[in-house]
Amino acid sequence: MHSTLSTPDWCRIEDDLHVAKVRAHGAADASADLFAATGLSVPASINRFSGDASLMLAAIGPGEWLLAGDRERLSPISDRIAATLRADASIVLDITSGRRSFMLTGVAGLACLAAMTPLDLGEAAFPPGFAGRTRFGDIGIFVARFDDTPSLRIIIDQSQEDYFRHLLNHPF
Amino acid sequence: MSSYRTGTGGLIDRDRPINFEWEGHSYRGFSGDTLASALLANGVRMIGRSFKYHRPRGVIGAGLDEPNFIVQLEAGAQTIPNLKGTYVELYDGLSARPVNAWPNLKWDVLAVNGLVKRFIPAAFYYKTFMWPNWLAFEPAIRKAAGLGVAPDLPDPDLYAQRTAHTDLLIVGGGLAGLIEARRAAAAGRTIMLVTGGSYWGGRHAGGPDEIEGLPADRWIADAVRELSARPNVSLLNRTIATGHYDHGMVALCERISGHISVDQRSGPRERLWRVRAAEIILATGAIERPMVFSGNDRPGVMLADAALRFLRRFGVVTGRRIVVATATDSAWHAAFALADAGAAIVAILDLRNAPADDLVRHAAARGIRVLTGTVPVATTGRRSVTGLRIGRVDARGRNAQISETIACDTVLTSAGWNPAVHLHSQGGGKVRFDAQAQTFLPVTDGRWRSVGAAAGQFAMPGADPVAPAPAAPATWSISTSKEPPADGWVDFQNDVTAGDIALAARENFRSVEHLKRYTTLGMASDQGKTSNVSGIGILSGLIDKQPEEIGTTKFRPPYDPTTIGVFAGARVGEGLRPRKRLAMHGWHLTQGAALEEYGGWMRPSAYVRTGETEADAIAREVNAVRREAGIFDASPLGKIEVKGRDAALFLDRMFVNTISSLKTGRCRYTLMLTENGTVFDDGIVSRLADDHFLVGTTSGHAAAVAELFEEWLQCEWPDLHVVVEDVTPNWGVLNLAGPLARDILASLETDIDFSGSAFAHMTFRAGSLCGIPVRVSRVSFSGELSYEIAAPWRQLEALWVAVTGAGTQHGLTPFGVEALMTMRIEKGFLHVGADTDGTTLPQDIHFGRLLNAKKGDFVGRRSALRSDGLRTDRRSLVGIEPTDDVPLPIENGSHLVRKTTGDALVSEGWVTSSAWSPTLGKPVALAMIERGSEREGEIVRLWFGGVERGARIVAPCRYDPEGARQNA
Repeated sequence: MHSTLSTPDWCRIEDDLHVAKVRAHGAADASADLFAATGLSVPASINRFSGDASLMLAAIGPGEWLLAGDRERLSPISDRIAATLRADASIVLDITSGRRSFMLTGVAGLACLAAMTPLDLGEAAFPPGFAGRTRFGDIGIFVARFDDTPSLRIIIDQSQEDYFRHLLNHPF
Repeated sequence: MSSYRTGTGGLIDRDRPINFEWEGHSYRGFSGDTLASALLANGVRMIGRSFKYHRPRGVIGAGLDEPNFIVQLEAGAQTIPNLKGTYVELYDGLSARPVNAWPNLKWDVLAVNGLVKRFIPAAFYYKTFMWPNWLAFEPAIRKAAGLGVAPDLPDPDLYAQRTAHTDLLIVGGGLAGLIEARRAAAAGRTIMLVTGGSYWGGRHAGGPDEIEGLPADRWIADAVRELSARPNVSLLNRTIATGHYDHGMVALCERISGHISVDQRSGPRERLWRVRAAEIILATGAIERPMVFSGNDRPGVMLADAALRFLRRFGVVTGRRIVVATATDSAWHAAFALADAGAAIVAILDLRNAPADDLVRHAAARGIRVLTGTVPVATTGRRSVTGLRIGRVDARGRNAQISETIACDTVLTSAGWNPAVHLHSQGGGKVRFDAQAQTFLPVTDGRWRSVGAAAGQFAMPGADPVAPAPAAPATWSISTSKEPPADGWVDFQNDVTAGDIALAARENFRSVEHLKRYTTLGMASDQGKTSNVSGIGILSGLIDKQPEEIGTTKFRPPYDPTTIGVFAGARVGEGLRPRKRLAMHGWHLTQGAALEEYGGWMRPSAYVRTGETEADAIAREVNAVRREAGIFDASPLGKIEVKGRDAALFLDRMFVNTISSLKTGRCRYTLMLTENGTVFDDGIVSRLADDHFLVGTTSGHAAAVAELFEEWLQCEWPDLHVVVEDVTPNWGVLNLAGPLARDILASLETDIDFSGSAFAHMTFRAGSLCGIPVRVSRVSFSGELSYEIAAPWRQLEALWVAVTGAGTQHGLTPFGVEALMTMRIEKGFLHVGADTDGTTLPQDIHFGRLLNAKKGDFVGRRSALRSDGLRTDRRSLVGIEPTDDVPLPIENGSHLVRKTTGDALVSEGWVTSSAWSPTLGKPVALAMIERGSEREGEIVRLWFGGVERGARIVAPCRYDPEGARQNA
């Protein structure tokens, strides 16, 4: 059951977004394997993503990637990664059921992040292509910046949706 | 308007009069006024009572250095205590009152304290009220003292917070801050420039000075306009830097709407900024030091610079007959400005024997009498100054004999200037005493720097110094005897006199830290702004030790009182902390569930029906599970995927139990310890494949366990080929328990064989149920036949509806956490966190044999087997049943006591879990008792809140000890 709290007009819920998580240990050729499976180049560094809103591949930690996108594109990719990724240990999980995704836009969206997260939102530290985990109020979130609008994708633990929406509505 | 307001000048808008109330009386001021300037313009001199002695007090400062004018603003839910009247901007309808006077300012009952002041000096309370017990007196003393009153209604205002990262933060919008900002802005760096007041320019705003060839106000306006136009510069006025913390973090409090009429405000009232700055410049200015002499706290005595600021900014002349007493040049300029504005400067007393010739010439040109080598000795008057006794200082610059009394209504003093080093000190910066400036200056060590007056640099660019050159030797206090004046005030806010400091020194409180605690000098919201340096100077003379040897106390944040609301921000109400919702949240509510927070999750405690008490509901739910079937939302149970070829080895190292011997498709109860050997968590581990495990944790503990797994893998065992992922939010869990559970599942479409022979207790299956992918563990916390069925979170509702539909004919009943807890106590099952604490070792809960038998090491083993863990008198988990027939549960937390000599009671342990058992029809309880396992059958006494109850120590499990029902 989703939250019944309202969201501001600069926030859109991405109901159909699918999310997958890849963890790998000892994956020497992870970049090549993931490119082969996804068609996306693996970000050169952590806290960056490749792709776009319809399919993104974010590097969020050593041997840790998050995939998000349309179901039609993501589902077969998850299977391909599981089959392709060569690693001493790995796991590919569809975590769609456990997540809720929101797209924040414009100056208000950015101001909301400034209010609720400790992120440095300057252009150098938070350019389009940024993707990482941070604290929003007192919960952990994934955040990615797509463009100069800016469009900001936030993915949260679905059980914390009420709290997240409550903070969205708090003035900043 | 009164004659205290000049006809022209100041930064107020004379076309916008403002009506306001002070202590119930109506007054009028102008837009741009502060409460202080408006009252002074109306001729109000007495604005408060002192903290301890309730002496009449007047305004002495013009900014945040003001120690006396503490006000309670507005009333009811809107009220705010302890604001400084010098910083409260006037708005229409403003209502304020003093904080420490009853029934009113003029006739204050506790003014009697002032009459007996000599009998209640510093530390009087500590010395006098120790017998029989300080706590007996403390409430009355607190009530008599204190400043403002906290509101007793919920705060109706909203508060915002924001994080900012910047290349440079400049604190202070005076001349030094603006110059630094202009310089840095040109280099393209991101800059935040903040100032506490509503206007820019600091002391120079409204003044006649020229800066770089321009009138000061013009230069300030140009600078602000230029900086505002730059995209890399953020300007924030009405923003006080309240604290300076580690790693370049500065907290700012921005006043957003507090200066607007209450009925016109919208949005947040204040905003807390958490600023991370690569570089910090402190341009916080300096605070003028009052002279310490007898009666220097009488209304009408004011700092010279404050009078100058009231004149320049607000067009207020603070007195009609003014005496200026100084040890610095700056007060002379204040006198000249006031004289030029029409005030009568009766005399300028300069402690120095030879002030600068040009100052004397300027005074003579204005017909002002000048007395050198002369100081104020005492004021006369009651509720305000009527005269000043003066005298010449002796050769040591200390004592003075009265030579004359001058009739006056105002005394302006200036003993010197103290750089505002508070933020510098809060950040860990050191200060040094400068003998020339007779004050403490900040020592720059590269992390940040102070500039302008905050660094002791008082000269404007291209101008002569105006503030320094105080007298030498320093005169920290003036009296007619060898002792500092007993009624010469040093700390006005905390009512500390020079006599109090002398008393502290006599009683050997000679360290500056001891002096502070003994007298309260420099404490509380004032943080010694006008008093610290004088206090140290006076102590220096008393104990014959130089100020640099004495040092200073550390200044603490906040720099000025800050609302609790702004620190809380969104963390109020539903935002106080995150509370997770179950997948079936709505369904539970429709079933009448009472939701309570358990481990951060809002869960049904019980489904209370009309006419039932909660106890009735719990009993009904327990009976339903024991006799038929119940359904429970177990979604919060932690679920962590552990995968990799070393997964079994890793889990062997993490758990007390051996995991590698677990066969695929089977489950095992496990215990996890901290490095200190104490119980950290328990749960069920299921082996999904040879290299793949699902680790179950207690509800609300999944993240902590997953983090611990990551820590060990990343920091200690990076060689292990294992990956870990917490999947708790992905899976909703339905627990179906009771003797008819299997019958209900058998009626549903599934590819899982739920028969007892195919799906035994402590085994695991994955498959499909009602077309939904599920993971099913046959495990039991209730002691009945039980299945924990995990489905993808978003599909749990469909499964739940199907199961409850099929269960209707079997009497399926939803049950809550309290019913489950009751059943597990009946079974004697451990609940980590309830039955264990930070000292519980595995051997205390009957894991000792496993601890010793397991081959291979694991986290916590070494610590659990230290000598303390091997003590034979350790507490262990037992069951408790009362020996009486009282039909009430045992009080949780009851102590098991034995009597010693003299009938003293000694605790041998306590009840950790307790419930009324509907199954057994009597109370059941678990307890941690000294040598508990050896004492089964022993009759003991339980004590709770003075009431004793007889009980017997029994085995923990009171229901189906053979486990036949869960193994059915």
